[in-house]
Amino acid sequence: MNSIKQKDSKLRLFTQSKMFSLLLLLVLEVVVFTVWAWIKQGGNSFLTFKSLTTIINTMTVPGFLALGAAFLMISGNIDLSSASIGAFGAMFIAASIQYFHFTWWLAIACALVIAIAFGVLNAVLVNEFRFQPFIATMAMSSVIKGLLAFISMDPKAAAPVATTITLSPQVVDFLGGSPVKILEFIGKKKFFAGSAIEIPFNIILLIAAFIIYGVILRQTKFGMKVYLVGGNPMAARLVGVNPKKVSYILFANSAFAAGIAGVITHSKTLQGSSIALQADTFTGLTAAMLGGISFGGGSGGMGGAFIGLLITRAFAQGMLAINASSYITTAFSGVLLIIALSIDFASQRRATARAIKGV
Amino acid sequence: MSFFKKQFKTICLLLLFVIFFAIASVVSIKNGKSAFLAGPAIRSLLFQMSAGGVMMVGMACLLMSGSIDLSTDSQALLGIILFAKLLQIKNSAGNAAIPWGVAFLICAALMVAIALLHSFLCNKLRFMPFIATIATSSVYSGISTWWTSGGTVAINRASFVNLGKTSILTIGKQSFLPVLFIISAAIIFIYAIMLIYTRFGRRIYLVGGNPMAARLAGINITKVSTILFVNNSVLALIGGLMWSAQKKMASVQFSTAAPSMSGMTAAILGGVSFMGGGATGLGGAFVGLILLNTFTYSLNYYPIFTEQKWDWLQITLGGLILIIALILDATSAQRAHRQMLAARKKAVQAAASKA
Repeated sequence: MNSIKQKDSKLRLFTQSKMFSLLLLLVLEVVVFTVWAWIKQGGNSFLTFKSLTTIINTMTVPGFLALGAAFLMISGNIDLSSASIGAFGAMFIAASIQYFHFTWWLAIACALVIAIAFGVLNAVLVNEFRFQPFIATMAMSSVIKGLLAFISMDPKAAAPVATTITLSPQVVDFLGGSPVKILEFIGKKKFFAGSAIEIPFNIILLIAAFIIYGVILRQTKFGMKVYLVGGNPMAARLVGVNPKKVSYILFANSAFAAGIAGVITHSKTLQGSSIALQADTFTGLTAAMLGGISFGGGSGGMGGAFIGLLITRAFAQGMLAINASSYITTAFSGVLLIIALSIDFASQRRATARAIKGV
Repeated sequence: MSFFKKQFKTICLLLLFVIFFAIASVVSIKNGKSAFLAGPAIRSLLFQMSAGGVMMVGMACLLMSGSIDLSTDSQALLGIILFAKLLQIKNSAGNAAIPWGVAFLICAALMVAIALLHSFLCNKLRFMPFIATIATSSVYSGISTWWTSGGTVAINRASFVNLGKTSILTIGKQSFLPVLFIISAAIIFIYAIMLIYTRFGRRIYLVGGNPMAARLAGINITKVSTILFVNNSVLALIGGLMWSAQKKMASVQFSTAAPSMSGMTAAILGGVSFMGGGATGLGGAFVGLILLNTFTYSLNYYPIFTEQKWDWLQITLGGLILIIALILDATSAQRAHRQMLAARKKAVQAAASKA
């Protein structure tokens, strides 16, 4: 009796939980990179406030990608086009302000609407034509990249494809400076600037979004539906949930989150770039997967996804601290994804074993 | 008649091919001479097809078994870079130390090791094939770019490069049929026969169509899957080497063209079902390959596409063609399903009326 009680004690449960192994992984990562950077640079160059600030600064964009990816993956789907959608959004805002003198809110609204339209298109391909989600979204991704090249052309110059569009001072003056002020606030405003840890405005947006989505997932009927559709679509249909409707909403939502990521990408640099977010195709997915959201769907939560995000960002920062070339970083990001998958596999097997034992 | 009905899709694709070919030949006429319908253009089209064709075979077999390998391009890239680096090794006398046949065998061993890793990840750890291979893909391409610093490694071994240069048959003094294309076509032919007439070929279909039934029928699914991964990786290496032989180098440019992705598109276009199984063999896929390559290659010969402002359309087309191929796949699968239901209904009615 006593032993059973001990088994169920809170601490014990926590150490067995996935959250604990994730935190352990994060700590392990920090230790490894600190030591490695110390050996390589002859001093502490990783475990500093500066790294922390950089991590916080670079977290927002992949964070929003992870947000959309996490919801989709819990429902058993996947979207590989979200990075392209985000890049398209960023470019669209730049092009529409620069060439057509849109006001800032119109540009952002149009970019988000177009992003959602792409998401719905993904959902149509997956639900109506029954494509495999990954192949449908991969094909969409290259279509979107082509359109991105299209909108980045300068209509007046009839010039070849521009790679970046920067808002010119004349346009900013013409519009009274307002678009830049607001966009700069989104992208560059920092609280406690100059102190050890600066808190950018957009990280507050991200954390708010994570909390809201977490509450939706845990506390509302819709959140339950998402888990149900992911865990067992057949059962979901039998209890009266429409999996198609859930899928449409989640694809649109993923594209919307990617659109927000695009807005933030643009507002950070006030540029549109045709190669923006190209390296971020899998960062969102990796973060979500590390956070315990498994590919089969039906499990995981936003807290885990957030720690997963921290792990991927700390990894990227660590690779910088040890001066690894970007090619090697690419190679190791693949390894990180495989580690994420292996953790998922191990925890699933343990869960099955426990279920069989009947504990 | 039933032959035409059965091969309806393939015949449509062939007709499309003829149409594209004719249009390209006509629009590229300059000074009364067609630039497209000439020795050099046809030869480079066939070159492009030969590397893509070999890679398509491996991918098509994987697709038929319900699996996929998205790292094929970066595997082949790693393979050809290793190959080029091996050829550069010199012995103490300053001569080349390794004959290219031996280098090929070493690279093939690397490919087998990679394929075994994939098989382990997908069959033992039960990762989804596409996500596991996407992850490993960035490992291989990262290593290859790091190894070459994003540049190229020249290959100047005469016996190897000549293989890429040689062509036979001529149109107006210029030969157009590369030996590599003959090899590629032969490989496709052999695999097509293998799929239809051997026991192993039938097993691939069975595993793809219904894995559970296949297991109950006593087929070792893991074994089939492992063989197909190995097969795909080695064919990818051969395809990559065909590309290197003709370009005389190993370079990261190889994977930007994504030959295995276009091979996959061609296979799906030709009726290899993405859901595994599927009744069409490699014949349809071959027609798809010819159609797709002719189409994308002939775009360069349209006067308007030489302007840079149409670049975006060429990028978009890659995705659009894949989507169209998949829609065709989906609608034909739905039609087949309806036909099956109708046939079953008829049979039930017949049985009822008999009773």
